[in-house]
Amino acid sequence: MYDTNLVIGGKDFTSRLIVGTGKYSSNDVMRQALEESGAEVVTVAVRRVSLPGKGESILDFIDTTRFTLLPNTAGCYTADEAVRTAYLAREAGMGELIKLEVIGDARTLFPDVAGLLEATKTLAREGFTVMPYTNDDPVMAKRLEEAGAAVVMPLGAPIGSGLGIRNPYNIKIILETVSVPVIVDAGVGTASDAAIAMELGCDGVLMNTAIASSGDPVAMAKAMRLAVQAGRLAYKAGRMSKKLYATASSPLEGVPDWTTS
Amino acid sequence: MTITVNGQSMEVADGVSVEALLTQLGVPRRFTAVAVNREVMPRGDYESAALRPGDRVEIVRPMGGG
Repeated sequence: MYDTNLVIGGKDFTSRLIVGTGKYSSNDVMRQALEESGAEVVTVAVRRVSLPGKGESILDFIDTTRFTLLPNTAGCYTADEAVRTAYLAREAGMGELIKLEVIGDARTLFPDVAGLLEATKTLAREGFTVMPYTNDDPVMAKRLEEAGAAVVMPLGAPIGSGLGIRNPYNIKIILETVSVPVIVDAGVGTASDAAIAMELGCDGVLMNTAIASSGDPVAMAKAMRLAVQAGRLAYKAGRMSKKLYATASSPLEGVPDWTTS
Repeated sequence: MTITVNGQSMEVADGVSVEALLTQLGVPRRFTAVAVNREVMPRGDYESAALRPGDRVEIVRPMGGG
């Protein structure tokens, strides 16, 4: 398929699907799902090691020569916590990409946009490639771009809700408002949701629960890969215009005459 | 002396270095990072950094997440 690459912080990716690594029933199922998804970027959380420091690491199941790690700041409720978590991730050797989350409310996991903007400014200045998880507000998306965000990642619906793209019109306005890539992060529930995001013109989709909590994560990962490709292709092709009434697909001339007498 | 590591209170030798602490705890080094009293510590400082009583040490690594 002819297409341009998704460029994030100067790095080129052919896949427009970014997947998380949480909530899988086993590391082996996760490994297979990552493979089927075709994703090149995978998100990880930054958490305390268990002590004593033994046991399986998730990185035993992710080939870091093939996958680009995208550490997140999930669980951070202030800009300060998120910035320190980003520093930890960088010092751990996970690179300059950061999926920036500053959470404002535990029940909805909606972002605290004031904290998010502050943390974006700080981390962009420190050389990070900042990928902020934000709400579907075009004004905020613009502010984040101005603050140095490398992409903006509006939610389709609350994290882990699977409710789909609740406000496609706002996503569309965000696409018209910013010039950095727009990646829908959170809310996708099934393949058609991913296709809708891509058909709107989004540059990518990021998801975790929709794959990990599906009945068959490996099959759903493949469905998501195909949906993102299908949606992207449909967007590039340009859909037909909608009409209220039917337009025949077959010629109106040359229809046999079956009238009696 | 007593320090706190990942929320657990712990008895360690006086003036132990971060490097020695990581070895003692059997922490793998790949993709791990350390913060002491909220400040992220550069890897290059592990050998020379002597911990002090009451220090709060966080040792992290990547985990599954979205």
